[in-house]
Parts: sequence; structure tokens; C-alpha cells
Amino acid sequence: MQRTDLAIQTIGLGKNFGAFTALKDLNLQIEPNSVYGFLGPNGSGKTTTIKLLIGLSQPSTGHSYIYGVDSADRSLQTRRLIGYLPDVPAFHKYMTGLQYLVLCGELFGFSYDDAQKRAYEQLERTGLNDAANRKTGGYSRGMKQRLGLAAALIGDPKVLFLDEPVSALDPNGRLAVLEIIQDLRESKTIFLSTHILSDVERVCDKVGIISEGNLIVSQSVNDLKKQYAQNRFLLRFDQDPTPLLAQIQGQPWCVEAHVGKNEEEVLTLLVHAADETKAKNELPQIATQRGFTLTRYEIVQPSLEDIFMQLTGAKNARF
Amino acid sequence: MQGFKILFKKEVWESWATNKIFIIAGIFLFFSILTPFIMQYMGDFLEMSGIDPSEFGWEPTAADTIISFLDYIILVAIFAPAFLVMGVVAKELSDGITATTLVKPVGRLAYILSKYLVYLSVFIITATISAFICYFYTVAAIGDLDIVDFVASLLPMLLLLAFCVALTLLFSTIFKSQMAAGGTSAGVMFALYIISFIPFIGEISPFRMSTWSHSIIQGSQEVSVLPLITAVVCLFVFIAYSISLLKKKEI
Repeated sequence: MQRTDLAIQTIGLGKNFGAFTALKDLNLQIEPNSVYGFLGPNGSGKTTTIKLLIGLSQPSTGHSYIYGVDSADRSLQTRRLIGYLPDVPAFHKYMTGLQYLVLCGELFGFSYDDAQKRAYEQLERTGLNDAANRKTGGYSRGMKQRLGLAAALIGDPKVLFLDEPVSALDPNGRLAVLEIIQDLRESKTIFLSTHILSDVERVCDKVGIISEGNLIVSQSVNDLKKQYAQNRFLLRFDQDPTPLLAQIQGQPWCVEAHVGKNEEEVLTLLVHAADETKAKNELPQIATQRGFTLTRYEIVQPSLEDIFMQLTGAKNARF
Repeated sequence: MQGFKILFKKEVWESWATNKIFIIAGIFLFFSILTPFIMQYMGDFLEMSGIDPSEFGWEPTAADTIISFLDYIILVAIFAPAFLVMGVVAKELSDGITATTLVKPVGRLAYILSKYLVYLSVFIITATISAFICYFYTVAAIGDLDIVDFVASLLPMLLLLAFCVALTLLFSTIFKSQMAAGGTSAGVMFALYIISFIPFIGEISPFRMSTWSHSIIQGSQEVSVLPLITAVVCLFVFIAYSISLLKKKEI
């Protein structure tokens, strides 16, 4: 049953392209004024899902709703509620950024003057003021992505669909877009598809991970981390810990242990234990007995990247 | 038709900014001046080459000149819409512009119709202006011709242009590649042109309207109903099918 209190809802949503199933039985419930991160490897069904949600594609099974209105109906009512930034935004090359935004505003039914006022506001918001009167054909990819975001915002949508919004941006541009998303969360629901997991951790309230057309998990970032927290320990010493490895691997509670280098190229011992309590007590003892001095000892919280790798079947980044 | 007015304005702007208006006008203008010019001076050219034009019975009339111009319109009708309209939907589909347009409160009917009506207007207006230039040049340089007959002969050719623009728009909606759209529509139009010469079956080809157009100039009152019906019906079917295709298409 569709719910008008949810910004986005899908019930058994599926899409087949001939014999190929791009999306299978997707059930989502996204609350208003939240940021939902949609993660998945290439070809997992992220863009297909977005296109179904915004009515550019027709579902093979199920339904999707924006504030209770079926997106497959492609009603003008739904389209007034949504803004969409594609992964590779394209524009009319003969128009300037300002002219393009005014056109978009007019398509939303605003008068020319209103559309122009809104266009200037969005140019300011996306940092494109200086390029407002330049032809879009001369825009860099990052500028195009920011103009696409401005165009998605021009109609003041309640739900914003962003497909890889920061993929083409330099670090400063990325930060600026993430700040815009942070600002918008007060008044809009944002459905964000991205590969950059740190961005999801930074701005998203909830995350969905999709693989081969199946939604594997959909919950808050913190709950996800708790659920997938494993007994992993990080130990750093004032010397190479490799001699300890054999003894630790021989412990009955040890699932896996290896020596790796962290970001600062410092040798670190990483241990995955079956029994957290035993490992927590015995690891420092073993090190001390062998004359190693611990400089750091911590229980590792899994990052979203670890969980993502684990859930999508890819090789774990740390182990 | 939500968004039609804005999209129509955008299409006019685009045809101007991409010089398509000027290309179409230039092609028609070229033939409108070239045709009477050749007719006027062909005799002199032949004489300069040492050939006596009277041996060939070379005595061009105003009707011959207009018929020749109308034949050039057929040539333009086959190739110009194919190469100037081929990308109007196909390129926007492949670029992703269609997606960002249709996600806004804009109807598919408005999207297709705005494109069709702009390019139809461009072809009709430039062809009509050029035809009148050709007519007045012909009357001034070669001989008199009833303006009513001239206008009547022009109308079937304008309808033919409307048919060709609709056909190209349909292929532009079917294909995501503008080259495929342009090539296919030029091929289909050329095939229909060839078919128009075949007895019986050729009667239904819209290109048979050229024969009708010629006969009007020569004073005939007869109406070629079949090609007229085919052109009008196909035109509406092509536009309706383009809209229906866009509704079903994965954008």
C-alpha cells in the first residue's frame, strides 16, 4: 500500500531487459528530509533504479511512489516534486549557463523574471556565478556537474535524485557539493547514488547497498557498522611484528592474522578473532611475552567500504 | 500541452543558433535563383558552345521553369530534412538531454510537437519565400504565369515537405544514432520517390504529388487524391507514432 508520508517508496520494484534482470523486487521506504545513499558496483542497478523512480523507465514489476504518487504514471504532479542530476549531464552547447537555467525554470512554469531570479540563486549556490554568461559548450566536466545540480534545484523540488554527483569534481568542488547536500537535507529528501563511500559516510542518514539488481541491505550507517562490526584488532609496535604472526595464527580463537602497512606506511598487525574477549586479553600478553612493546592497540570499527566490499562479494580491503 | 510554448521557443533558438535556418533558406534560395537563371541563359550558353538551341526546340516557358524548380524541391525534400532534422530527437536521446527535459513537468506530446512544428515552419516558410522569388524572377525574365496556378502547384510540394519532415522525425525518435536516423529516412524517401514512377503502386507514394503539381502548372484541374491521402494520413501517423514511441522508450 502506498504511503503519502514517505518521500520515496518502492514495492516489489523490478526491471528486466529481455532475459536480463537489472533490478529485482526492490522495497524501499525513505523518509522525508533525509539523505539516502545508494551504493553498488558498476552495473548493479543503481541508475536503473533512479530512472524507474523518476519515471524515465517503466517497471517490469512492482511500483514506485514519490509522496504516494506512482512515478510510472509520469504525472506532471510527480515531476514538479523531483529534481534529477544524471551521472553525465549534457546541455545545449549554444546556451550560456544562465540561459539554460532560465529555460529549465520556465519549463517548471515560472515567468521569465522568476526563472532568471532562481537561476542566479542556483548559480550562486553552485559557485558558477563567474561562468554564468559563458556557453556551456566551454564548461569543464566539473562545471557541467555543478550546472546540472543547479538545474536539478531550479524547480525547488522536494525530492532530489543525484546520480554520481561528485564523480567529476576536484576535492574542493566535491567538498562544496557535499556542503550543498548538507544544507539541503533540512528541506529536501536526497537520493544519492555514488561510488565514493567516504561521501556517503559523511552526508547520508541511511544507506542501501545493491548488487546484481538485489538490495542487500538498507539501514542507517551507524546500525550497519554495528551489525557488521567484527572482532578485528589492530596492533602497532615499535618494531616489525612479523615474528609474532605464527604464534597468533596458532591460537584457537584466531580466524586470520597478517601484517600490513597502513596509510603512513607503518607496519601493523591485523587480527580477526572468533572470540573477542579471549583475543582482547591474550593479544597484549603474547606481545609482551615476546618482548614487543605495543604503541597502539584498538578494536577496528569497520568502515562503510569494508562493509560494502563484504556485502558485494568483493575482496575485503583490509583482510 | 505543458511546456510547449517554451520548447517551441527553444527549438526556434536552436535552429537559429546551429545555423539550420540559414542552411535550409540557403538551399531553397540557391535553387530559386539558379532555376530561372539557367532557363534564361541556357540558350546563350548553347550558342556560345556552337550549338543552335532551336535544333533542340529550346524555348523555355515560365511553366517549364516553375516545374523545374518544383523538381528541385523534391530533391531538397529527400535530403535536406534527412540531414537537418535527423538529430533533433536522436542526438538529444544519446546525449541525455531528453532525459533531463522529460523529467521536468513537460509532456512528450509537447516535446515532439514543438520540434516538428518548428522544423516544418522553417521548411515551409523558406520554401515558400524561395518559390515566390523564383516565380517573380521567372515572370520578369521568361514569361507570364498565372499566380493562382503557381500557388496551387506549390501547395502539394509543401505538403510533401511536411511529410518528409515527419518521416525524419519518426526515425530520429526510433534511433539513438542521428546518422542512422538520417541515413534511413533519406533511403526510405528515395525509395518512395522511385516507387512513385511505378504504375499503379506508385499512385500511393506521396512523391506522386510532384506529378500533380506539374499538371496544375500546365492548367489541369484534376486532383491526385491517393498521394494526397497517403501524405496526410502518414504525416499524422508518423507524429502520433513518434509520441507513442517516446512514451514507451527507455530514456
